[in-house]
Amino acid sequence: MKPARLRETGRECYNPLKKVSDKLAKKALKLEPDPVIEVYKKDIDRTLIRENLKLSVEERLLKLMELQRFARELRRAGREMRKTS
Amino acid sequence: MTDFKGLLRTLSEPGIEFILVGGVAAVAHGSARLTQDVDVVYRRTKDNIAKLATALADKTPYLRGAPPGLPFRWDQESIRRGLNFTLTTDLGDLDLLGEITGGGGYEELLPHSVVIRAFGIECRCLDLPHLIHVKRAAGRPRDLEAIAELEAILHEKTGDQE
Repeated sequence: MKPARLRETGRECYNPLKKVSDKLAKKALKLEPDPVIEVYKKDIDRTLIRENLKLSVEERLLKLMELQRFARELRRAGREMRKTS
Repeated sequence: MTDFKGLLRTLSEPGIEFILVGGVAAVAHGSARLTQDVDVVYRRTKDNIAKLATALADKTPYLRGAPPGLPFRWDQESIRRGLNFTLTTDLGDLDLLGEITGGGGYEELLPHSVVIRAFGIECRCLDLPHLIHVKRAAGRPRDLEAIAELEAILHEKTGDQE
């Protein structure tokens, strides 16, 4: 295979093969819409996502731990209720 | 409850090469969904397996869902003979994966990972497009809502039109 011929365009080198490989990489990463997922997407609460995106990674993980604590407490309360009823 | 800080520290401090995937990676990217375990893809080199065996040895690792009392030993030999381990530990549930569907092993996932920082620890996490890709590839019906959320996060981050 012949090496790519480079053409100077201002300050940057233009490499035609790089353009093709970038296009292919972009195509490989592109996620084609899935009709089933699109249906689920309609019910996603975007406000929750926007609030989460304002947090740092650490804050998101701490929030998850809080959620786990809450879920565990709910399960415990459910068990107690079933015992007494 | 899972001690995320403890688990990440246990894996990061000895220099274990791993990539966060699954639900915790989704939370790191902004997901609001509840997840219980930590899923990581680890590098299957001799050195990394040795570090994994040592790091978790005092965290009472045991096969999740297995009856108690099985002659399970957490050592280099067990890790070498196996590939994917779903474990309970003193710090919470930990899935150690040698490979994942649609993503392959550590080496394949590494170019698609990003460095995240939490609790003063830096670790690698699968990037959002590839997290979506591997979840899609897994093809589990229970993931559909999670994938929809991740795609919505991607759109929020990139500002793409739907």
